[in-house]
Amino acid sequence: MQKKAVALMLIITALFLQGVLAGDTVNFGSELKIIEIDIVPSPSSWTTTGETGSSTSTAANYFTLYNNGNGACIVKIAVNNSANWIYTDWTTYSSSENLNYFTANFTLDGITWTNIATKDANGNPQTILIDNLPAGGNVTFGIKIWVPKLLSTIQDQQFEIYLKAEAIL
Amino acid sequence: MKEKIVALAICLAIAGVAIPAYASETATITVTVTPTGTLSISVTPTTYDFGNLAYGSEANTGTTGYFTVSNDGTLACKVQIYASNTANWTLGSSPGYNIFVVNATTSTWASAITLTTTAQDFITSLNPGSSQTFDIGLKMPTSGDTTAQQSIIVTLQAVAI
Repeated sequence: MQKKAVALMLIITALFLQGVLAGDTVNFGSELKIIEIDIVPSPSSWTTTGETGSSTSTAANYFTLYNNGNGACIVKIAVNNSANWIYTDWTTYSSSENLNYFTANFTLDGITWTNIATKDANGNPQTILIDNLPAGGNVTFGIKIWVPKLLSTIQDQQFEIYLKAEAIL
Repeated sequence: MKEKIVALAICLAIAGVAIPAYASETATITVTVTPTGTLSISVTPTTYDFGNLAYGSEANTGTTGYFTVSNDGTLACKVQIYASNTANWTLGSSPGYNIFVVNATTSTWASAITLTTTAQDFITSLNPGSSQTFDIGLKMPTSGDTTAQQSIIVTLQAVAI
C-alpha cells in the first residue's frame, strides 16, 4: 500500500512538472527512427571486365541510394575480399606489385574518387559514403575497381560492396 | 526495487522524455570482375648443343636446371611443353630405328616426362615474376640412316589458369 502511494506521488509530480494539469500534450511514446535505404538499380549488381593493373568503373551516377526512412542517416561503405583477391589501400596498390592485391574507390561527383576500406574488426564499415542523407533524400554514386597488377588466376572474382546506414543522433 | 524501476519508467514517459530507438540498415552491391591480362613467358638460354652422340646413347643438359623459364606476364600460367620431329628422325616414346626420345624435368630424371609432338602440362603453376629451371634429356635412336646433324625444337607455351 505504501509502495503504491509512493508511485502515485511520483506520477503526480511528473504530471505536474510537465504541466499536464494545465492541459499540455504528453508524449507517452518513444521516438522511433526508422532507417531504410534502397539502392537502384535493383538487384544491385555490377559485372565488368578489367585488365591487370588497370581500373574499371561504373558511371559516376550508376547507383542511386535512397533514404526511405523517417530520419537522416549517415551511410558508410566497405568492400570485402574475393575468393582470390585481397584488398589493399590505394597507397600500397599504387606503389607495389603484390600478387592478387586490389583496391576499390567510390565517387559522388565523378571527379573525386575515394578509397573504400574493408570492414573493421567488429564488422563495421569504416569509410563514409555520405555523412548526412536526409529522410526522403537520395544520392548517386559510382564504383571503381583497380584490378591487381599481377594475378594468380584468371577466374572471375566476385565481392560485395557493403553499405550501412545509421541514424544520426 | 522492481516497483521503483516501474515508477521511474512511468515518470520518464510521462515527463515526456522521449527514449529514442535508433535503427540501422544495410545494403549490398555484388560486383563481378572478369580479369584480363598478359600471358608471356621466356626461356633462357634458347639453345643447347649435345655435340656428337652415338646411336643408342643418351645425354642430357644436367640436373641443375640448364634452362630457365620465366613468367614475364601479369597472369599466372601453367607451362606446357612439346617437341618436334627432326629432318630424319621421328619423336617417340622409346628409341628405335630413326626414332628418338626427348625428356624434360624440373627436378630429377626419375620424374621426367616424355615429350610428344602435342603439348602436355609441364609446370602446373608459374606466377607472374616467377621462374622455374628445367633440363632436357635426349635418347638417340638405336640406329639410323644418317649422320647429318639433327635439330630438335622444344616449345614451351603458357596457358592461363
